[in-house]
Amino acid sequence: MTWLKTLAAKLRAVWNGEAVHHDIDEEMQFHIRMRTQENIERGMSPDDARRNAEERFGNEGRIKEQGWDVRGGGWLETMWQDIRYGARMLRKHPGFSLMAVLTLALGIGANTAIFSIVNGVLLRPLPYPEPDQLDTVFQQNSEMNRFGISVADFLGMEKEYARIGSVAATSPRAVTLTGGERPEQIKATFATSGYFKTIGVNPARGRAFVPGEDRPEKDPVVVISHGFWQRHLGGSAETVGRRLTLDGVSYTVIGIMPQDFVAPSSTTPDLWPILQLQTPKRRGPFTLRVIARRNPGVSEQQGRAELQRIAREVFTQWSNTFPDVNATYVSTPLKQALVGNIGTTLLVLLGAVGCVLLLASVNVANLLLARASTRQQEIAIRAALGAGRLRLVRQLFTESLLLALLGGAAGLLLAVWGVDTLLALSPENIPRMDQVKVDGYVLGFAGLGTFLSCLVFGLVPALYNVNPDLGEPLKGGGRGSAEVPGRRRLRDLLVILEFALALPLLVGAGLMINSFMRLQQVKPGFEPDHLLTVSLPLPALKYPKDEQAINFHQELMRKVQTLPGVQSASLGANLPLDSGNTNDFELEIRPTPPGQSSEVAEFNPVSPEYFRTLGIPLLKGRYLTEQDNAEAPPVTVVSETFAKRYFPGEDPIGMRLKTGGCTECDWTTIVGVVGDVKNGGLGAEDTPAMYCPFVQESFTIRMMTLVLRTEGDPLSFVSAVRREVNGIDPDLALADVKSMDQLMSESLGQSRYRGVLLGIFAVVALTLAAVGIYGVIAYAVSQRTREIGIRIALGARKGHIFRMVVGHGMILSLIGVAIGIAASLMLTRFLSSLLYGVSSTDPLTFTSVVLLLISVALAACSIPARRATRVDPMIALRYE
Amino acid sequence: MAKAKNNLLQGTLDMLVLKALSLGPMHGYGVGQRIQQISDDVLRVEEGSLYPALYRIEQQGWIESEWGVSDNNQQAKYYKLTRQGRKQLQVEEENWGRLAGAIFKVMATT
Repeated sequence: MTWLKTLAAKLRAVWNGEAVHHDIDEEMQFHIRMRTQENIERGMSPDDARRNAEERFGNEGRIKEQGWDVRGGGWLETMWQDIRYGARMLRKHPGFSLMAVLTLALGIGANTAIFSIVNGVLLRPLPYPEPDQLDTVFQQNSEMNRFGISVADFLGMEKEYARIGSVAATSPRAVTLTGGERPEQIKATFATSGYFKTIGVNPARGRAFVPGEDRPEKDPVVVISHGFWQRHLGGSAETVGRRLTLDGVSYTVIGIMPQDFVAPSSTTPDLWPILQLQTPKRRGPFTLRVIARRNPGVSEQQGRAELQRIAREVFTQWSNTFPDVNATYVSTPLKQALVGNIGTTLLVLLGAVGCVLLLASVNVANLLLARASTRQQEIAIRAALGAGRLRLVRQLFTESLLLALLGGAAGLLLAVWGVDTLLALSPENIPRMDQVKVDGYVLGFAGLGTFLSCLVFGLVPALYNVNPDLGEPLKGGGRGSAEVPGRRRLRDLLVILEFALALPLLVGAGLMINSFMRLQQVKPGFEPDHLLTVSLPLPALKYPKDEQAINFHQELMRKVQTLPGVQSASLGANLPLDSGNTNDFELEIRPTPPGQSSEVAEFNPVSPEYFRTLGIPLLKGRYLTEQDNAEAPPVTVVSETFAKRYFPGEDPIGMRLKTGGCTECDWTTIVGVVGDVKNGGLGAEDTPAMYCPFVQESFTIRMMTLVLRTEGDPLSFVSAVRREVNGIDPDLALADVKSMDQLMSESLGQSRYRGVLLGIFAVVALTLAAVGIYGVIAYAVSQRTREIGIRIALGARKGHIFRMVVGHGMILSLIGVAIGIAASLMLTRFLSSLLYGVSSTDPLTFTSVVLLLISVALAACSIPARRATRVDPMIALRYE
Repeated sequence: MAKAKNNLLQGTLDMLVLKALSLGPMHGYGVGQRIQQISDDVLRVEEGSLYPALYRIEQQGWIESEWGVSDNNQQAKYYKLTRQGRKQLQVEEENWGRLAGAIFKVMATT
């Protein structure tokens, strides 16, 4: 408490020193008056009394000072003086201050912005109670092949996992909401009754699902999001208990989620209808996503072991329909599953902005060092007047701290604005972006960045600027006297450091941009322009029989085909670039050995026109035709990679296979081979693919996507398509309306994001490095004006002077570049997982970046070099 | 050594100031006079030591000050012992007693 009082007293003394001085003075005067009076009482004359009192008191000024030593501000006062002095210096050199603050703001701002994204996406815990107990569960039968959970799996899991926690299954799917002005597609996640209990968040109003509600005989219920409640139901207080018609089924609204609820998926849906699980007849299909919560104290390993035990149990129960003994349940922490592979991108970006901040700090350090010479005299005078070395360092450092704080504050503003821009730029498939905000951690990071950068650019110059030798600067008048050699070496070193830092950034950006350009040139295997895609989910309630769905699709195709401007129309269950729908299969000629996992291929049920609409070339055999209908023998068309991988040196036409582990099904005959399509995204390898007639595959028949090839802008056909769809079924809504160009662009999203951001940072780095070397060389020229004048007077040619100045800069930049190349070779391997088509040590990228950096250095040096050649020897010599 | 001696003297002055103030609130001049009177003019407190000592003790929280009116109707700054100061005085008195006793014993040996 005492120190608090002392601090308060010091603060008061700093804030209002006058009052304290006055207080002391009054007290002393009173003392002298009292003594005088006493002397008079003892019989002295008033004058003598006064004089005696003053004499006895002693040196009034000294005593007051001693009092001030105790009661004054002490170190606080010194600091305040330093701050005021520093602020005055910064105001006196607005150009320098602005430059330094802007540079720092750029560095700190970029770091803070990127960090706030890293914080939101990678660091923040999931917004659920005890988030570390949450896992996602999937199935895998080999390192490479992961797939979902089936109803049969889940029912077994639900019963057994209860001993150590709880599980819930979800199935994301858009639903059609009817009953409003026109049918509308709403994002929904169907979930089993344990869903809200498992993630640990309850509805803000109403109730969550209760156990057993997810069985088919129960009344369907739905929980809605706060946003849906506000937008579609006007936030009405009587919402809980009212009914919504989704896909033709009437659901009772039982709960409304809190406003800030975020679902454990890449986007938060508007509706959570109950997922009613039919009693399974076979093990597959594997389409559910499962979330598990381990009870407190149950470790991840224990959870995984328990899942494997359950897997063995479920396997024996269903072994007749699913013979793959390698398949087992595997869990990963939910957060890791949500974040996915974006982590590397973000860490690379964070590393890049870290470099930018370091560069910015080095540049400011350079500016400060350059200014030091003009301040040498001032510092020498202060030292001569008795300022200690520590005191001077502290004062210079305070000045730097002021710069850093200004830069930090401006950087924070820049970051708040920058985060919005980064979010706007970011591709939609970056998860958890909605968690990004400027919070305490981000502020702390900005503070740390400010402090660290200040250490770099503040302390080094402060230490170097305080020159213990007082005589020289005073004698030399500050100008023209040669710079302290140590300081010049330091400045040279800083330039080298800048180039060494800038090069890896430029190389990284170069590799990213190179990858992006290569990705853009990848042939997707079809012609993506002028294609419109519209998905058409058909509610099972209204289309219970396959024929009804087939009839709907065929009628729709007949109608849209005749629309003016539509060249062809077709259907596919999946679209290229983002399909991920696979099926296992077994070849007639090479049966899977018992207990082995069967082969897996992309699986896409399509209409016959699909290939011509997308422009996928036929290589062998025939396309699918209208004659391959539901009654006809099952046929399939396979991709080139499929043919090459499974029938090397053989003719695949006429070969037979069975899909989906269905042992009782008829053999499917391969009738044709088509070109490869990039199904897993533009950067993905070509994978084997099978295309079967959609009319023969009842599993996907209610979730087909319409693909139209149009003349002109494909998106201008949307309203015509909607008219045709609603002409057949007025209750259907269009979902995921996109042009194929948009899908292509989305597939490039992350790559473009990386390229653009790293590109921006690299440009900043290049600019900082250029400014840095320019500053150093220009300064060196101004220091050597006299020497250069003498050289010219003695007959040195302009070319020679030019080469001499540029040579100095080139040596520095070349050393920096050499270090930078070594650093890049070490660093870029962390990028390799993000690159496409270029190696992380791509010589072309390295060479061009080095050339770019050197030519920028050359350009930056040539300006002061030209100035040096124009030095007039007479003026230069008279200069002093 | 010089420093230790100084500290001893300074600590003694602090104790004397506290003791003087334990008799009742007083201004700086009065504190000096009181010490001088009680010691029969043996201890004369220099102004150059008195005021820094008062300020230091005040920052320790042992005394408090307030401007008031003196007997002869002048503005004067009055110091007053705090509860903490009373405790401190007790501690210092005990220490002093022990020290004085010890010195006396040493000096008394013949």
